[in-house]
Amino acid sequence: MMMRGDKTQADVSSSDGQSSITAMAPPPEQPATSNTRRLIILSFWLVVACLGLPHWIWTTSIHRSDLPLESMNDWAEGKSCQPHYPLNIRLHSQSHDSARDAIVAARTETILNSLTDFQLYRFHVAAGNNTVSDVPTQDDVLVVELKQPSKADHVEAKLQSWVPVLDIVHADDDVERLAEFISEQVRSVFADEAKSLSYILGNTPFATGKEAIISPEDRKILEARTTRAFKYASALHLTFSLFTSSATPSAWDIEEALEQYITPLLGPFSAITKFTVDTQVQLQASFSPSIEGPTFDAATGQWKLDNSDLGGFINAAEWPLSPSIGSGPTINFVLYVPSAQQSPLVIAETGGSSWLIPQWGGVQILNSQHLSGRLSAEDLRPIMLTFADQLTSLLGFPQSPPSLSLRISSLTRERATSLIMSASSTLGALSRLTLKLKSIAIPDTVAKSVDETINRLNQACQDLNQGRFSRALQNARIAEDEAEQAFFEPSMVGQVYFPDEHRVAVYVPLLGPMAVPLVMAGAKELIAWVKYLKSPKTKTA
Amino acid sequence: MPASTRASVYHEHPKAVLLGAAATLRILLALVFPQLPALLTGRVEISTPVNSFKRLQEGLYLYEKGLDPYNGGVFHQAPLLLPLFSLLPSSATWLGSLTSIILYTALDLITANCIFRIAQSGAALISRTFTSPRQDRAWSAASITAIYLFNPFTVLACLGRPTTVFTTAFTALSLSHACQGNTITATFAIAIASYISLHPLLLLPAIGILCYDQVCQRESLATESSNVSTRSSKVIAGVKVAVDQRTQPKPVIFAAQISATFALALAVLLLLSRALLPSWQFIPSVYATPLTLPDLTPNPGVWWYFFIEMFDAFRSFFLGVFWLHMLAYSVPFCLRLGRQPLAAAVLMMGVIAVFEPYANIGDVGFWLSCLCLLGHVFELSSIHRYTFPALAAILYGTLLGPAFHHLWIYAGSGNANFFYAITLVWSLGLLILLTDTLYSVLRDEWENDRPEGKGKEIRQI
Repeated sequence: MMMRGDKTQADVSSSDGQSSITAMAPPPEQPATSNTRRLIILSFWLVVACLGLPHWIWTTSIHRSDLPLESMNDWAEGKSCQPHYPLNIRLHSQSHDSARDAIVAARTETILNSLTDFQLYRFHVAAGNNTVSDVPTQDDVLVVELKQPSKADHVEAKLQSWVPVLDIVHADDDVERLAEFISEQVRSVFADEAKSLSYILGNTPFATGKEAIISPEDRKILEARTTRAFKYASALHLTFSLFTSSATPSAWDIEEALEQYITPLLGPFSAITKFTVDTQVQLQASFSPSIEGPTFDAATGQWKLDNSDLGGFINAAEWPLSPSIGSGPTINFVLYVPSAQQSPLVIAETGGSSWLIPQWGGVQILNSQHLSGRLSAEDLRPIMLTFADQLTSLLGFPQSPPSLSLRISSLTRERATSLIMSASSTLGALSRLTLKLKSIAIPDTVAKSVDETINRLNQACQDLNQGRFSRALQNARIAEDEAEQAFFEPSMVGQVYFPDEHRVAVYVPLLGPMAVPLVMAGAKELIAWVKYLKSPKTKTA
Repeated sequence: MPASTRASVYHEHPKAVLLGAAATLRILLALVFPQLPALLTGRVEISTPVNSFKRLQEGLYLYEKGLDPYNGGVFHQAPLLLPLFSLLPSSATWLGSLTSIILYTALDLITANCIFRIAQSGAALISRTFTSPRQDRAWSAASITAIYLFNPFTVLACLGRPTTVFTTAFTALSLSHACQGNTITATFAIAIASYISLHPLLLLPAIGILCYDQVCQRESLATESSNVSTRSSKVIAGVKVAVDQRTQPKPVIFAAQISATFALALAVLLLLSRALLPSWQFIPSVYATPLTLPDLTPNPGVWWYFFIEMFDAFRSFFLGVFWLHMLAYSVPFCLRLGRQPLAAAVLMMGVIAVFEPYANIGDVGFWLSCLCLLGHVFELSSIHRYTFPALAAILYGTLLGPAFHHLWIYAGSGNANFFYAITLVWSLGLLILLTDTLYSVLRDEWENDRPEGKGKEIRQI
């Protein structure tokens, strides 16, 4: 009987890229048919080899830009920068004896530089011309103004609030004692900052051994300060909100109050950070359902809030306090006016009415018996002063010295230092990441950001060591931004979680079924060809 | 009019009756249901990012304002459509809507006319080296045209007015001229189709072979005419007449001619487009969009879901794989079906309709109608293969597709997998039809070579 259909079977499957070998002898295939089949298989393989393979290599090859790994590691290990802080102090005196002033200055410098807990600093004390105006030049961190006492034996040292000027009233003729007195005063001005810098640098790769030893109590204070403060951002948003549990007060003269009590504080600080401010009023604001609510204490006639309720006091679900407006983080200030039935409302443990929520903002409760519909600027005065105080804490200001200008310059140095360290450790992390994940792509933008980071870090470190602190902060800030951008490059972040085994799962489901018929058909034709090559040889032999 | 007279009118002028009825149906639908064209224009099954009538309006607006229509990133259609449509009244008005329907009806009629002529030419049955043993079973030209004109997919696509209707019209034009042996016209028509939609480029090898086959047949007829041997007698006898090879055009030169004509036509079209527009921006916008698939709006094809899920790192690789997959069929079909070039072209159109990046039902409707050109082999697939399950799957997809899309997008009680599953069923149904037809065509060819095997069953050895 005829073996029918065998050829059709072979033909149909050959156009799908397969061919079947027939066990029993079918009618012989016409040479033209088998040639066609070979051509078809070849044409599929040509597409795979000539178009598919180059395309695969081209689209899945990983581009790894060269990163300066060595200098990245040097930064991470603190080898590239040893921060120290040259502080220029100018000595003005009303006496006309410039030679004596110079001696006092030189002596003061020696004493200051020999102090053990001030090893990070390098003081330069210069005697200034008394014709120079009181406004300090850019280079001077502190101006010491020596004044003759109005009466004998009157000794006084006082910092001016808005300018970095230390007024010293001292009439001692003895140069040594005068210098000691001055250096003692200067030391008290910078003592907190020295501790804080030592705290930042200590136990990091950047530590040089010159850091002051910090007592456990001081460490606690410094830790509390860092936990409270916002992470440094180049732009911050302030929101002042009035929440009233009843209908009054429904308005407040917030603009006037801000103008009087907050703006003067923001002005000098805006050299470091840009501020935007908005305000809002919300009536009929209810408590957060997550807290138990105040309890009435009959003994004192007060409503009391538990300490544990303070964290949950903010009704996040209903009060319109958006987490972030614009680019930077938002600092919230909330003034809460309880209803007349629940007034006065105080904190149970302390009896106070204001508290600070770390890295979020400040809250105050306004207990007043005679509230009109509108809170005047005068009513807001004590509230704004508290808010201002909370703001300085939230920004990470040191508690001393009392001069705002000196506190800002301290903060500049601290922030510049911590930004340099943070950018450096980001570089180190990036370098470790690229070494660990060999298959991760490194786009050119990352290499560019890393170069920029290192460049800015070098400049920042130089500026720091040469006493140009605000420029150091600027450079450090750019370095930090660039380093973060490089580390969180979106195309890399995805690949961190993409191990090589996943490639199999990507390729096999689609390419596997396509490859099987192609490979099988190709292999069969190859075997047939090899057999054909061998057979004439055996015949001729 | 008595029924017999009506029937006789049909039998005397079947094409005129069919075209008239189809045009009336389309225009009546638009008039009776004035909301229907707008509704269909918004359907994802008909309008895709590269052919949507709505996006065309956006491009038209920018074009008429003198701006670069490709600036908005919304419009991805061929530039030469813009001057054409700017002649029509604004489609926002009742009149404009009707005019556009009339234009698309005219395109449908042109396509129908082409299909009629392809069927009449008998190119599906007879080629230079092959004569189907089933040529007496061929479907009549009027039936195939009727199937095209009254195919619900075609009617819906006509009312939804996607610009791929232009592509189908020019593809049909190209095929019909190829069946007449008008090489230059056929190549020019397929160049226009490729200019509008890119993928008809893959039909060029098949159309080239079809042209070559017809030209050779004509040449041999001319030489034989002196021997009083007519075409029909040769066909009926099934005897291979020795043909003087020297009188026939050389395949390589012929291929070079076709490629040159195609390239020239395409270059002229592109230069003409550039002259209309302020920049070359249309090239990436029109041709890179199907290549790189930036818009993942769902459609009845298989690409969109795959590339929603694909890892970004592998996206460009798999775009290449999908395109190469489509491209890989073009040459093997021509090699295997070199003796039946029209079948190669029709089957390649099927591959495109199923695997194209922005699939739509207009292309499927056109392909299903063209498939009827191979009607003489259907008995093979309907007896031995899976025609019924395939048609059932297509019907299932047609009915459930819109329902699942509604559940996902509007009702919110389904998700993307619902619609994707139905597009898989739909594509599977179409692919079964495609492979069955391929089987039948090959079996038909085999029976031509071995008449003794006719009607016998296949058995694997």
